[in-house]
Amino acid sequence: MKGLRLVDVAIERDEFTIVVSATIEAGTTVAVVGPNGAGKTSLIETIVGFSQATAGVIERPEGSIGYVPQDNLLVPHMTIRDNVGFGSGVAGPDLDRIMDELLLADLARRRPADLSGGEQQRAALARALVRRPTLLLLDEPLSKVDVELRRLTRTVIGEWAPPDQILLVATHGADHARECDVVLALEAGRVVALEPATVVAARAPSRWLAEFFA
Amino acid sequence: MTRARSRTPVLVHLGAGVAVLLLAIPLLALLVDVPWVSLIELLSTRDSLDALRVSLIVSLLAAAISVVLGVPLAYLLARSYFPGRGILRAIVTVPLVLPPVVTGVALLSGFGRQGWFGRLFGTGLPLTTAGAVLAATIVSMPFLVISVEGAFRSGDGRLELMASSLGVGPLETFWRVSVPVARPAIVAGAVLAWARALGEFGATITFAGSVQGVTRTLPLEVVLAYEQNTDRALALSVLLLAISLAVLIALRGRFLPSR
Repeated sequence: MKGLRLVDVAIERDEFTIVVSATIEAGTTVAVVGPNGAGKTSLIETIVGFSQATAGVIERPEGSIGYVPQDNLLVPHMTIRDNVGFGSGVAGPDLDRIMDELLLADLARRRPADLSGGEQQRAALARALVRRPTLLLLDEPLSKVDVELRRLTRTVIGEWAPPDQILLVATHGADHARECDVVLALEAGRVVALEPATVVAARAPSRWLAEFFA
Repeated sequence: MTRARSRTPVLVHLGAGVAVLLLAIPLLALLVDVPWVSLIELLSTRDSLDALRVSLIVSLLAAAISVVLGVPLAYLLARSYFPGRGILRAIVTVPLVLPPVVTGVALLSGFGRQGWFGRLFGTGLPLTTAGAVLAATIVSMPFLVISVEGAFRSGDGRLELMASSLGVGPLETFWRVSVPVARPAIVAGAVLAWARALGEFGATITFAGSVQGVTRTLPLEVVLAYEQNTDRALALSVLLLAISLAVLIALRGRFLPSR
């Protein structure tokens, strides 16, 4: 299995049940968009395995999964370098390179609490990228990154991606969504669109999406 | 901003005043009665020094065992879901409410010469330092478990999920993520457990007995000394009071509101 397949996946939430069926081919980048509370984070955390679906089947691509959650989940008492290299399968030279490329080298010995929100996001991103995951999930990964660093950060994400990587990125940026191959739009737990951004923008299947791409 | 306060009724003031008197009078009387001039001399007798040595060994070992065994137990109670968890928690909490003498009698049944342990191995733990350590451990471990369980419970487990997704094994995750995050609670729990072990009397005298230099801890020595030499009992009491106060001050702000 090289792609990501969600078959009638149901995720219980207090207000509604998220129901998603989708097949995403290897090498595809997907923007997950939708209003606040639409279920973007719940969907991502279920794909990662942090929460369990109440029904349905999830088939993940072979290889490792990288995840950058909104709260970063850096281990508080470890240095940034130890956080980025935490776990298995990280080669020393790769660790040095990703620290350099995401401008973390000078922060290597600091602890997460001593970093700004954007620096923490870059550290969590470095930890995910350095493993070259075949499935990479980013939950609003650039929300706190300085505007002038966003372009650089997106370039680094692309450089570290293996060719068949599937990237799912929850974003509030229409520009960011347009750069992805496919837009997966969620509203109140339902998939209202799963197609390229140009098609979604032209079709505007909902008022929220029309305003999002306007 | 200072919030305006409503008036407190006089009767409440009265009740609180009596309560403070009840709590303060014995301590005040102790401090007045202690023979301060001969304090060092009274504390450096052979009996006193033996009791101090036994107390330090027993209480520190009890605290250490509480940490080594209590932290895993607290983790299990906080993070695992299995049938009988309620019963397990009850077993952990019982020594908190059980009269220590009853704990001592129960220990005799379990680890005494005529108890299960004795029938299996032909010997028992009473009258040994190991027995005193066991008694102190059982009464003090619940303090650590409850303190640490709260810390493990307040973490939602997402850091551990992240570690697992990075390929970190369960044991390394426990050791490198869960335990360090709970470290303040582990330290506080260890200090509380140690203080409880230091003051332990009922279970120790019932189960381990009172053998000088072996099982006779400071509280046991205080009771014995009171029958022979009141001054020495007072001196030993003031020593225990000083240690207790030091613990309170060390933990201030963690468990006790500072204002």
